[in-house]
Amino acid sequence: MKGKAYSPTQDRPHAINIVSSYQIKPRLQFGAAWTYSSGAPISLPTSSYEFDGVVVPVYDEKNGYRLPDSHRLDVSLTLDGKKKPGRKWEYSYNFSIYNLYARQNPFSIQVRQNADNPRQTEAVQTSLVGTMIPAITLNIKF
Amino acid sequence: MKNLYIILMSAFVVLLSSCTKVVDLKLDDPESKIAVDGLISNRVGESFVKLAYTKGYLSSDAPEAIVDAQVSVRDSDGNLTIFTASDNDGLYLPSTDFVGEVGKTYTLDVEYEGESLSAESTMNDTVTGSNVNVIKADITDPYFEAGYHLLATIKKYKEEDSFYKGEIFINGVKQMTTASDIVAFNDRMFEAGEELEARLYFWAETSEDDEKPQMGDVVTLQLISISEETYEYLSALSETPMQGGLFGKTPANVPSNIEGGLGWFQASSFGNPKHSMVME
Repeated sequence: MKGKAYSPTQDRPHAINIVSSYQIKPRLQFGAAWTYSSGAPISLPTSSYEFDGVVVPVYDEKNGYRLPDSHRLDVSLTLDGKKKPGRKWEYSYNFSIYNLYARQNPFSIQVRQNADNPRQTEAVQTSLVGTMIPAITLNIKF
Repeated sequence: MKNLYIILMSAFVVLLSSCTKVVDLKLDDPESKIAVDGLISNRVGESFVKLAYTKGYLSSDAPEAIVDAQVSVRDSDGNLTIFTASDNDGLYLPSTDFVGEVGKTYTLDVEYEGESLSAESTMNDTVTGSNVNVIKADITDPYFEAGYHLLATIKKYKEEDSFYKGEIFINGVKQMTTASDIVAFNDRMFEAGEELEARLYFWAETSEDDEKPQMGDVVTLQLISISEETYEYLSALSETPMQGGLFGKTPANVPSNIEGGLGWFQASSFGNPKHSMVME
């Protein structure tokens, strides 16, 4: 807008990834991964006016705001199957939880007129994954 | 196995339903600008100019009205009409029994605290729909979604394209409340003499009873002939709810024809309203 430089949508100045694993018992392994990234730039209207009862958004700057930061913790527990002499295949169970603390990481923020009171405006945040996701996996190696 | 299926489906529904929420945002407090909402109509008592300052987007305050500006409109024949403030709400009305005339270009001038704003718009020929119908479609209908549909037949009567705005009323109450409800269309795809059949408005079957027509209600379509520029403005405005978000367009400002400010000034001609009673 107005020939000014702006941050691209892919601009994430800070990113942290921590991955760790711990051998609890010979057949039991615990793993955790924590990821963090600063929010992506977005455009939001700063002001508005009314035209024929409709609220018209006015943008002053392209990508002038940032989404809130995103972070999540994933954990897993892997139990290896008992090995038997002569058996040509191995197996393991994996129990994992994606987004352990159920953070609603923002994917986007949109603005809109309130459905019940159209003169009032509001901002709505969308999260692609808004809760924790448990999973069980059986791995067979042959 | 059946229980497992139910548990998995319930979890899936919870996952999807917890994805959006209204959030508190702190937006910058921008400098206020003068915004204009102006209409020159071909009907007595309907022309107006409304002046207000822009306000913070998420602010719950009412827009601050501008009450002591000098507002005038000059037509292409040089006739000047003064618009005076009617009250303290920023609404300016013509001081005479002023009506706009088809074919004339109107120039708006606003003077306020050393600032000058101006805009121009030409009034196009009046248009009228030849037939208006409200039909009810049920869930088995192969062509329409379940609900009420407002259909209109409009004849393109000249070579030049026309641009239309539709205002819809149920028992006299205007239906437009948000940008998504704006009805603006054109006849660019049609030849002179052809009739276009348009589905102009839709009320979903799942809407609340007071938000959709009922049996015996009178639905009125007011067709307004607008300029091409006003059509582009209304089209851009109607798309603002689709901006941003998951699959939305890149947010952008709607155009403005106000030099020195924001908003839109239009000279538009109103045809005869058409009525239709809702029947099974």
